[in-house]
Amino acid sequence: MTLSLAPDSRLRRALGSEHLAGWAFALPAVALIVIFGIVPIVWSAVMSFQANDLVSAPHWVGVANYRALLHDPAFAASVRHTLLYTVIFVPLSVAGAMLVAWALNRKLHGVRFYRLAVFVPVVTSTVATGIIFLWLLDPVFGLVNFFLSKLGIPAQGFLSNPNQALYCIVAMTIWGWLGFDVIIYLAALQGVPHELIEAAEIDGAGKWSSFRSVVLPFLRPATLFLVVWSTISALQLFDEIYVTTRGGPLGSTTVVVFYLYQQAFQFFNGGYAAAIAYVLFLAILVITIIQLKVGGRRIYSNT
Amino acid sequence: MADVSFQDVTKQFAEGTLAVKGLSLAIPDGEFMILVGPSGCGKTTALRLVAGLETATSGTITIAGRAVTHLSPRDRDIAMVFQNYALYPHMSVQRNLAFGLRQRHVPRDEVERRVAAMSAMLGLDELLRRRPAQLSGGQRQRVAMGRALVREPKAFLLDEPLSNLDAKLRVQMRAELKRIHQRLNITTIYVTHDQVEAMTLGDRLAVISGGELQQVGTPQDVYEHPANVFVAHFIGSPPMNLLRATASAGRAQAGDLSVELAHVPDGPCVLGIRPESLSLMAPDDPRPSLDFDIEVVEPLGGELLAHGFVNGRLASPDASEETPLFTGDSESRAEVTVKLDGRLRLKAGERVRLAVHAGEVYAFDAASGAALIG
Repeated sequence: MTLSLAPDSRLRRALGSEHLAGWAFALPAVALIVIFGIVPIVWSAVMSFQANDLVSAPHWVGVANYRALLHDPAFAASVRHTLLYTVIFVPLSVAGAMLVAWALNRKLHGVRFYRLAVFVPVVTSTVATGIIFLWLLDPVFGLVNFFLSKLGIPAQGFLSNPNQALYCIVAMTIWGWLGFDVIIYLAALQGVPHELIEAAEIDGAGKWSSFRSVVLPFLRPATLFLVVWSTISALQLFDEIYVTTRGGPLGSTTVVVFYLYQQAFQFFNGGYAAAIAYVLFLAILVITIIQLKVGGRRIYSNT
Repeated sequence: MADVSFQDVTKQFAEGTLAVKGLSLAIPDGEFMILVGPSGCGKTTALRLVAGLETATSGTITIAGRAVTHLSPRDRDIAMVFQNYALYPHMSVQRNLAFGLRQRHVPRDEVERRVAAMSAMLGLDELLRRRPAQLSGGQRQRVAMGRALVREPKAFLLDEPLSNLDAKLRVQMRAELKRIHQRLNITTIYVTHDQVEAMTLGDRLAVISGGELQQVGTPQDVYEHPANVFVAHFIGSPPMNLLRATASAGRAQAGDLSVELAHVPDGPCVLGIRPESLSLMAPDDPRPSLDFDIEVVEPLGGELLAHGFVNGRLASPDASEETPLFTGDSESRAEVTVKLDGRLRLKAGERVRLAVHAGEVYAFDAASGAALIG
């Protein structure tokens, strides 16, 4: 061997150390996170201070992108749509999931089938979900209008009606994501000691009262998690819009992330889109911190 | 306050387990009744039937003369203490105590008055603001009892309430339970597998095995006059020694031991002798006696327990059909426990002659296990 290292040389120690092996194992994951996580985060921060059409050379514009956002009525509208969507979606999906989980948390004949049925939409691709809803809600050929007509209710525009489209998106996303929330709640419900419900029954509590006084407190940690998680995903709504309405009709379903997409990849205002992304990020951060502060106080510790 | 009764109550679970078979039992107003038996005997199911947490398959349960068999727990006006207390973990002690009253829409000042009275009685005043997680086992136990009693229920049900406490606290709480019962005089049904609790606490005991009532009576009565071999073996600590015997012409023979039992019919039978019914034989003791080879000595201070062997064959206390009393090849040596004066200095390996106290030998039918009473 020509290369002979002194037994205590630095190189030898470095090569033989556990550090090196550890980094070698971690490298694929670290590389992925750096390339697809950290680099875009930093790059988009830089971009948000540039005029950047994603093709020609960018140039610095300072905070002009952010200033422009303040005076952009289309952005303001997208924020309104997003907030309206979030305010409807989060409470309905969380409360609905709690109700469904409660109904499924019993010895019911075929309960496994119902649980499966509730969860299937979660693992179904959003594109498929979107297409199914497009069919169901089609103003002319859709099944929903067919049944409404049977009830004597006139045909509705649904996704093609600017006053209804966003609510249809709410219904579609609740259907698609309910199963996830239900699974979380089912797990939380398993953690409620059965004797506590029996004790409440003996103490004279009715079904609703024992749910409110005994079961609900046990669901608080799960509820907080779901509210935070649903709020974040509601504020980032995109896929369902992209598949169904593409922001329309008349921009009535243009939410913040869809507006970002339009700015970046339809109008090639890369810098402006990056600024939107950062504003959205900060908004989510602030909202999440507030939710955790307010909600965390109401969770008792069992220790 | 009220009487509670079971009339031919049977409970079969959906998967087929017959937990309670034709139970009939009347518990008069104010009585402290113990349901005692080995684990899985159906005693807890019987209690849950009274509470309404299970519904009887057939038969009638009455509380204060009113049939409650199909009423929900909240309409039965009973209170229950669970084995693991089942305190509401997110509520303070105060709110735990008040919960039942508030569910029944008792006026606020009345709730406060009753909670205060109960917490004073149980010594919980210092703890009212704490959560259950911040209490010791004994304190949780007291809160659980307070929560049950504050409602002044018609009947007070307890499901092995002391089993999660350490030995010292258990003795203390046992006395406290007795004191509370004497003070409030509420009809109480208490489930336990611990025969010491059963003997010390109960006005009467109901011994249950395999879902069936074996015997009801005062502790002393059950101890002195067990109805069958199961009760004889289950009540009393250490348990009664059971030996296979053969009777002929008014005498029963088990190994060395020959006892005069005029009422026992000829043929096989089981002889039962309590550990405390044996003593060292004096030189010219006329009483029946047998040789005893000491294997282990356990001094307990005032008395001692000696475990060892006598000539003869052991009988099983289980009289169920699957395990007849005379099955298997038992050794011709039977293991026996004797309770003796603690001042005796006995050594392992020693052989002593034991005398049986007159009139303290029980005889049981070899097939049914029923007591053969003279």
